[in-house]
Amino acid sequence: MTEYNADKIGEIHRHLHSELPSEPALRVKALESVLVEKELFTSADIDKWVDAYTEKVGPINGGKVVARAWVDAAFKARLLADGTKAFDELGFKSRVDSDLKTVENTASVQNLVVCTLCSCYPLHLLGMSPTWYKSNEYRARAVRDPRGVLREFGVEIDDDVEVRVWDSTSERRFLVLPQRPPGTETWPEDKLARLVTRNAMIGTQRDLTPESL
Amino acid sequence: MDGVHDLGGREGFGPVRWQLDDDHQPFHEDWEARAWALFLVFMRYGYPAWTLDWCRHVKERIGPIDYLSHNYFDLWTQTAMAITIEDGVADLDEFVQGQARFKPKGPPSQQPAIRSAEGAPAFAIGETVRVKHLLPDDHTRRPGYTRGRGGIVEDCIGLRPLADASARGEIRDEYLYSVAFDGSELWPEAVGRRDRIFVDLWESYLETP
Repeated sequence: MTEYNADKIGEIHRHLHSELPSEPALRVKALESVLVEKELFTSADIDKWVDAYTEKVGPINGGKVVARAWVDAAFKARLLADGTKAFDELGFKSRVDSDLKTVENTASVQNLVVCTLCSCYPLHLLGMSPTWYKSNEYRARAVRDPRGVLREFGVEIDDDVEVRVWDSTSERRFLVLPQRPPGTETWPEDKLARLVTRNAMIGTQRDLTPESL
Repeated sequence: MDGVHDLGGREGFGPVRWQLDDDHQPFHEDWEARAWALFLVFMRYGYPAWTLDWCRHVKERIGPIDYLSHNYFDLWTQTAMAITIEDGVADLDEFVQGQARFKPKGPPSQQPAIRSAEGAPAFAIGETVRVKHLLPDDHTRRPGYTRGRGGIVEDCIGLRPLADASARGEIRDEYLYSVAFDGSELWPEAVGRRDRIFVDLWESYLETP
């Protein structure tokens, strides 16, 4: 039975560091073998989740939300007011303990999402997070030098545009609503959804490119 | 906890190397996908005793050099091992040998203690607040860079379980706020830049300046 004993955990980590092989693939194999032998769960349970995450879930669910907001002003208003409820309208079942917040880019605002303390990310809307989102560099610098980070992604932000950085410190998850690019006025919703990139919904891309489809 | 996991604003890190990341390849090796899936199944097994915040805290307790240099998915593998050893579900030697020697009595049985909240929010939208300076030495979701800094309450999100308590197995609701900080309040070089940083902070993290 856990005692939530953090000092004991520190000691266990030091033992694991010195006694386990350093090769990560061997470590995960040892973890799986031991816990499956103990019947905590089966390897088939793990297989299911491997399939769920590797079959390119990707950011399409987030793209659908954005496209709906572009074509339906009333939905957009509901989305900005209460993201959790609006997501459920589209059939995405939110986790009960998680809130969803949509933040809107405009001509004068660029939003950027980060988790400085760990790696919180709207997995069910955007799929697995990219490696850079979890990197020490991004977590350290996004809150301090957001314009510099954006420049590295090829995004130049004018001085008169406000940058809003959202640090995911609670169970709230953030989705950036990018601006609809000109030239897409006649596009159907499903085509608009495919135009929306993962990085645009994290905030490291500002302009979407209709010519990419 | 004032650990290296609390990365916001730390200096000396280089460019974000996003070009190395293939958009359509969330995992670069098979074992990474396996480690991620294993941890998700693991969390379901231990719920509700092994709360998400307890898992986060166990990860934060990994030695600082390992924390900053090991692969992200490997950190979760080590976290899962440490949780099971502390709980008594497994022991170190089993992981070293890669073989189980005993069966646990069943899933973690304790239920988190529920503590409900009373009263109205202490802070109003638009009010200036300051983040308390002293950081507790265990799990908290108050980033170090906000310590002692002043911000404006942008929104009151409602009663949400305080992360610090969840990491000790207690569900204790407390008002959660979105607080906006001017970049220049946090970083000297940000003076004159139109940057704002929004941080979700629980009521007990805040005081009236």
